[in-house]
Amino acid sequence: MSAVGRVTVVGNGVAGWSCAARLGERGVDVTMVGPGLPHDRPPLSKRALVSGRVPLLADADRLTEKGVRHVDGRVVDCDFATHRLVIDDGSEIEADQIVWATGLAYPRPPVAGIALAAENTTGATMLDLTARTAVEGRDVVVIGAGLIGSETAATLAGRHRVTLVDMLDRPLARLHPTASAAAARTLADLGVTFLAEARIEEITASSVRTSTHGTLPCDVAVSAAGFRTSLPTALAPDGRSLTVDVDERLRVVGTTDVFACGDCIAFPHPRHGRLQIPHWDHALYSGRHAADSLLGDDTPYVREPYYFSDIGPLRIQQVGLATAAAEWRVEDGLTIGRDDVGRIVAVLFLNAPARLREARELVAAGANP
Amino acid sequence: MARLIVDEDTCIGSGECIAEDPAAIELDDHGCARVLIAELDEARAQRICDTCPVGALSVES
Ligand SMILES: Cc1cc2nc3c(=O)[nH]c(=O)nc-3n(C[C@H](O)[C@H](O)[C@H](O)COP(=O)(O)OP(=O)(O)OC[C@H]3O[C@@H](n4cnc5c(N)ncnc54)[C@H](O)[C@@H]3O)c2cc1C
Repeated sequence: MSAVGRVTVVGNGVAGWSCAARLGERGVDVTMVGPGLPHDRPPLSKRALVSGRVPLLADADRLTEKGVRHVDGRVVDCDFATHRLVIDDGSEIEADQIVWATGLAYPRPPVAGIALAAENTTGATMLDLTARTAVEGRDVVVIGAGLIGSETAATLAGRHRVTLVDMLDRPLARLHPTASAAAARTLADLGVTFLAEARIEEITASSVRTSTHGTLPCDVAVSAAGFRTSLPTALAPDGRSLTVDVDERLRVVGTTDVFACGDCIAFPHPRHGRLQIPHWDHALYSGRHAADSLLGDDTPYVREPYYFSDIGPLRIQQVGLATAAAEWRVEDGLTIGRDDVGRIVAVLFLNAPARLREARELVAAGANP
Repeated sequence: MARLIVDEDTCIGSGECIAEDPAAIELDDHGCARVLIAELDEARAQRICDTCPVGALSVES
């Protein structure tokens, strides 16, 4: 392994920050590029939406303490042959090694009037949403009943009249039916109106017009539908791939000095092959691992998928890979997925946070029978 | 004896602390850790504190 030179980490979410902080701690000359101070995302649809405080990963003092130089901006152009990065203010950075950690982008759906909608996928947009929901009793329409939209609807339901709309027939429709049904019940208990198979035609200052459910009164619409790639064409030549392929040490395939971590990578998982894990736990651990790889550690990155979600009082947790399951069975309160030869590949558990360790052990035993 | 303190602005609700000691700490309705036992044995408080991946927990003796 060649010596570590000047490292630039592109992206200031949990993956980029955990990588940059670890490099800084080891005395590496490290620059992190990203808009604003680094912050976490999970609380943006939960506690932070209530407190109105952005969950910062580091403020200016902590950046200094960790030895991380922060460039407040976005990388708009990059050349991996010359290691030159162009920032949106026109300045350039030349790096010896680059770590790519730009996560996913959360675009708004192509609906008339969507510019009027709020969102809460970044600290800045969340502050705008908290300002627009500061007065109690608003009519809020949340567009998209995935994890972020369902969490957001549940959080806002305490103080507002909330309607949650989706094109699909139930909240969390892409998750296991157990999680989906529990989320539907919890949202109903919280007073959230769920509108299934909804088609939105237009958002105005006072309403959301649908072709399926009439016109909904709406003071604040919240966009929580879908994601797209954050990668530059140098890493996603088709302009669409959500992830860049990395090797087991998180080095971008086909490069020598470019690493990547977090939501934007597909890494070779020993059991499941190339995997993207768009969850917080993986972002943190892959960020740290990318730093260790840069520092010369040869250990492969291995991490079972794990996510947690809070739809108000409903806590959802899952370890392992649900899409690898051929059949599911409820056993002793855990929803257990097995592959076609009967080995455990995923464990889903609701309102049972004490069982995280047990779930991890079951999945680990399935991997090493 | 010691107190376990949660920094609510740092907690992201990973659930690692509850997996360690569910009798001592739980999650509130916003996915944030909440201490259930005010005074804990110092070693026990430290064990819980050490599981937090974001440093949202601290021990005050
Ligand atoms: C509202 C919300 C709630 C969530 N809740 C949960 C949860 O409860 N549990 C869970 O497991 N996961 C949750 N997630 C997912 C989790 O937050 C992500 O998996 C995690 O943040 C990924 O980390 P990352 O660093 O890879 O990417 P991100 O956190 O997305 O960070 C990427 C950063 O890179 C910056 N960036 C992008 N392009 C550029 C560029 N060209 N130049 C410079 N910087 C750039 C972005 O501004 C961003 O700050 C949630 C996500 C959101 C949005």
